Amino acid sequence: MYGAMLQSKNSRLAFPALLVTTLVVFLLLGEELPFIMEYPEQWIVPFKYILNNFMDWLINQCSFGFFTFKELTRSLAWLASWPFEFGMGTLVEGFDVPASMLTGSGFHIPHVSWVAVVFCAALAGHYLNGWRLAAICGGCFLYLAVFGQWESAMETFSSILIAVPIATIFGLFLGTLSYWSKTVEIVLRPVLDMMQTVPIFAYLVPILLLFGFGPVSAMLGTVIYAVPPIVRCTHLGLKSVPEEQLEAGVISGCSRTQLFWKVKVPASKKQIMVGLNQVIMLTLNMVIIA
Amino acid sequence: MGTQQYASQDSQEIKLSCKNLWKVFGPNPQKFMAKHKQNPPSEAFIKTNHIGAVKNASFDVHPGEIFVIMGLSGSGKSTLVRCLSRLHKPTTGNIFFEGQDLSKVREKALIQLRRHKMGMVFQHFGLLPHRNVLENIAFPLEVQGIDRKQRKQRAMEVIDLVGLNDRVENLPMELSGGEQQRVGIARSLVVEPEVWFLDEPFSALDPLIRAEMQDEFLRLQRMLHKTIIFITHDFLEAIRVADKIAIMKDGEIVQIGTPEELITEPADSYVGEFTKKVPRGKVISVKAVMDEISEAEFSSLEKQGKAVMSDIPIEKCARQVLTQEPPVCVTDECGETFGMIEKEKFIDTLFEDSKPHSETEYVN
Repeated sequence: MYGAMLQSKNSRLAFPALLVTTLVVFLLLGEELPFIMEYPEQWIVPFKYILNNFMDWLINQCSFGFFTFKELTRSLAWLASWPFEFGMGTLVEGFDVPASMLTGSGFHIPHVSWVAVVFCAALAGHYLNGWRLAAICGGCFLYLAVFGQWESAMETFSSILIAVPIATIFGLFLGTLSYWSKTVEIVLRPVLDMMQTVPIFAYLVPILLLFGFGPVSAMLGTVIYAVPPIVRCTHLGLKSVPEEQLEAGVISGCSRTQLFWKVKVPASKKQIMVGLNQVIMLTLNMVIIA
Repeated sequence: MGTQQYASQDSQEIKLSCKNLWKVFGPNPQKFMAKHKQNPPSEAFIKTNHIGAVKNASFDVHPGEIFVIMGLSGSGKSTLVRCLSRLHKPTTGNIFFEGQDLSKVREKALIQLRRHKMGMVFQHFGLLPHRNVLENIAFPLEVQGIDRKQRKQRAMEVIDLVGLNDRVENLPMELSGGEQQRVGIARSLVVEPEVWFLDEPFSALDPLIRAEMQDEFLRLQRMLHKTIIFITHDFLEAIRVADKIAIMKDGEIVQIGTPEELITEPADSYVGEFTKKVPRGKVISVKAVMDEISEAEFSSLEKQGKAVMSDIPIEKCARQVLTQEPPVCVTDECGETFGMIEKEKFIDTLFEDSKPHSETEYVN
């Protein structure tokens, strides 16, 4: 009947009419039958306990024979902590070289001096856009030192230096994959929606349980949080290369790989840059929380 | 018109041709074509949600010929040229390029063909926005793996040809439309292709620039003698550049002929509609209005005034034909007289509507 209504001349009115009718009917029914107004508690399925039990099992009992699941994740965390340790060592802590045959009594390599960092920032600014940007970059880093925030700032900075490239590479990879394969695109779309809508703490806690408290968990959380925009931008950028540019590439004799690297990627660079900008912003946001 | 003198109409040699070419879009084109034995009727398309972009196209293009495909938007002309250049794979039918069937060629061989034998110009130029003029033009060479120095040298030659010497370092977006299309033309010529596809090359340009570019195009063709497939929706442009014109409507080729043939013998009212706007005196040659004479007649003919050549446009001799009392004689290239022009026929050809429609109209 609903279908018939839709096809009638007044089909535009059919849907609102149905909506109003539903609201009124159930409002009237609700006075007679209380379960229509409030969802009865005994109908709730105890997903919470099932999920809790599953997490509990995953962390405490799940095993692959030689090693447990938790050992697997923790060793992954240990592996992934290397780049982070390196970043921290360079900017904040320096490196302790332990005593051994090769090094003799062992010694300490100091971290990069704050003067050098300020100078490098200014230099990068000058390279990118001349003296004005150089002054702004150098000035901002100097500000951190002057106001006594140097150490914590460098800690954040080193996480960003590691997290942004990881998120970017991962995002570019997924975006490209979803461009090539319709299946990947269809699967990825709801996953990205989830990643962007689920509150951070909802996945931060299980990550902490699996990977332990530390920079790696923070980084993983950051990547999950920051990756969706660059995936979307990469996908959109590659998709929106004008047809004639592609045809010009093909008629010039491009192979598939040449067409991708010489035509599609450069043409979608602007979009990808927007994605990168989002990644950096979200990473900053997340690193502080994590 | 154009470079007719280079078109070897009589030789058996054919550069590019297609036979019973179909391009069908829709849910399952192959099955659809098979079901209708490769020749579906037009009602079948709507019923099964298929669209026949190109329907049963067949024609030959000779070396050095400018073959124009003319039609309004949606007539399938762009799809047809993309089938010929194999940017699209035709649904059924064959395309022969120098005798090789392009509809069966593998991807790898196709890439080689495109790299060395094909060039294409696009309506909206299709330039790569992140590359400057030189890099755009050298792009087809770069793709082939030719080294930087050599490709720069070759690109500069073509840049010289299209007159963009002072724009070498500019990005496409810094150029005017006409200049951008010059880049497009230079890029398509840089590999010295055998066939040159031009898909509405001047349609996006202002009328003045368009006329200038048409002249430029004809100048280039006089130097290069390419085999050309030229797409346009502008009939005046078509007759200006074409050796031969194919007129398309709803995916079908309605008529193929020289500009003059289309004007003097349009196949149907659709073609006739286009030819109405044409300055007939400029296109129709003396040959089309003259009557051939036998040797007996020739001897009895009063030979007065100057004879005219059979291949000049009738506009050029209108004054003489209409004012001279005895009929004007027509000669061939060698100066032999072989025809004469009747005034009535001349006027009727020049002014299509001058024929009396019925006697009664004039009585009243």
